[in-house]
Amino acid sequence: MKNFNSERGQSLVELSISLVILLYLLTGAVEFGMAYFQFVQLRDAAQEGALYGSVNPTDNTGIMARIRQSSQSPIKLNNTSVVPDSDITITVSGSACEGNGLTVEVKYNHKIFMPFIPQLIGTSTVPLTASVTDTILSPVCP
Amino acid sequence: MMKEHTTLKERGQALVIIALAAVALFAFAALAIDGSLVFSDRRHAQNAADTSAMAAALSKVRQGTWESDGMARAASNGYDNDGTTNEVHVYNPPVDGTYAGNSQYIQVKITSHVDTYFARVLGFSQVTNHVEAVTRAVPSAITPLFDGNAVVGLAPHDCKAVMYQGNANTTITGSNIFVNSDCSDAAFFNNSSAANLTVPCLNSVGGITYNPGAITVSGGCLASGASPYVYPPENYYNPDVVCPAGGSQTGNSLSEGTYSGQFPPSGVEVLEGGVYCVNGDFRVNAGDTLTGNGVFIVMQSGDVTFNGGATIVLSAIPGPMDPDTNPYGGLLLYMPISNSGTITINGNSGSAFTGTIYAPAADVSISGTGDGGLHGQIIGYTVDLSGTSDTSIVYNNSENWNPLIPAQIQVAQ
Repeated sequence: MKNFNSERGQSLVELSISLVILLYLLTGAVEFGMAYFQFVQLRDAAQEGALYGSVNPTDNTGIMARIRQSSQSPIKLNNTSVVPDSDITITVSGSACEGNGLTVEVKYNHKIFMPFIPQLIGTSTVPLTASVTDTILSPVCP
Repeated sequence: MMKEHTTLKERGQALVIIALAAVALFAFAALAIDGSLVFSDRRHAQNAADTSAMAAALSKVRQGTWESDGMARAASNGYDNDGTTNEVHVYNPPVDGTYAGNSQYIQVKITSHVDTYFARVLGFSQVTNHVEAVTRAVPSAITPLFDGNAVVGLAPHDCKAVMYQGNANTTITGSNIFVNSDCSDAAFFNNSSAANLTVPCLNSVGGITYNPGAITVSGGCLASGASPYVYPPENYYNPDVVCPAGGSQTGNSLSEGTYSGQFPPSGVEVLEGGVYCVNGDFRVNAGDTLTGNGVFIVMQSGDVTFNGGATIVLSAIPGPMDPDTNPYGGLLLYMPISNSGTITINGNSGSAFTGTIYAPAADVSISGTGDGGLHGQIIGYTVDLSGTSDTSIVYNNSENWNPLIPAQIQVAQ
């Protein structure tokens, strides 16, 4: 009877339960941080492409190259199997000449690594989309 | 008994620790996640302000609706001035800062309110970012070439880039001499005779070497340390030349066109009004006569030599320059930067020249202009005013070519 009333090991049990919860929360923070890091990378890439496009608005190949070369971590942007061409959109509002806007949109599906979340929300990826619009500086409109 | 007493005292201790730990955990989560959100928003807002200010500046130089255009560009980047999550203001002139009150500048201010997720546990439900960008919008304008200096040596580093050491008088009226070189001996005025060069002002980037008796600055300014011009000159300083096809000689008269070899062809004494593109040397020898009214001569290759004893009367197509209807108005002789030849002018008493001589890569030597003088501007890589005959250069802006400086926008802040 004395053994049943004893509180020996109670802290260990509490720690093990709370540690699981804390680690799960920590994993969530890391997951969010990683996804956000990827989003910032996408936006920087879009900004780089839009900046180049602001003086070369018709050079879609060049804009695409700038986006893909902007950085390679955490997303390998120069790998077309990771970010296919179809996930990069270049749009010009109006004519491709000064004063109009050039929008670059880059998409990427973040793969969730946190346990149980994909089963809970029914998808294993989170779509990330970064869009930047810059002003076209040249050429002069006819 | 002792043991039971101790156990009872520690009841709820873990709860307190967890509660405190949770607050600390949220604080760190707020620092990491909310902090990154705020910094990310600040960066995005700054980019939005930059491109918005550029859009507004472009619109302003095109006489557009600059305020709404700037607002629209900010909106396309997510800052739509909804008054709740963000506010966008476009000012011309800026309302504060270094450029406050200067109507050439446009200021865009974005205030963005970022909602927090974790920091609200600590009492911070929102963080506000303030960013701004300033651009300069200068409309296009037709302005005097190289600020209307009568004589310009454009060489950026050569010594003795503009020189005077002859035994004849040189008089420049209406404007100044500018020496673009940063050499310590950039301008060299060192004749030992009684001859004198008179000019309102002499400004040089580099040093000036002169004998006190060699130069008279009627405007009282003789200064080094001037701001240099960009070399090679900006593209808008170069005329957009379209060479006419053909061209023919009738008797002693030549019509406009494109010519190769010696120019003018043998027997020609009159250049009809128009544009002459020359691939070869332009030479007028002693005893020859050449007259051309309303001409624009483009030396695509070769040198220009007007020998003493020749009688030459040449005048440019009358100004004012108009980019659409009169693009060469006031420009007499143009040697593109691809031609680093020489221009030598030895005028006699019957010679007269009117219009701008613009040769940014050529060495120009003026050894007398005759009684009629040279009514224009002389712009060369180097300019030598040494000679044995008196030289008179008269600058009057209406007789010269004035380039169209395109609208410019600059990021100022």
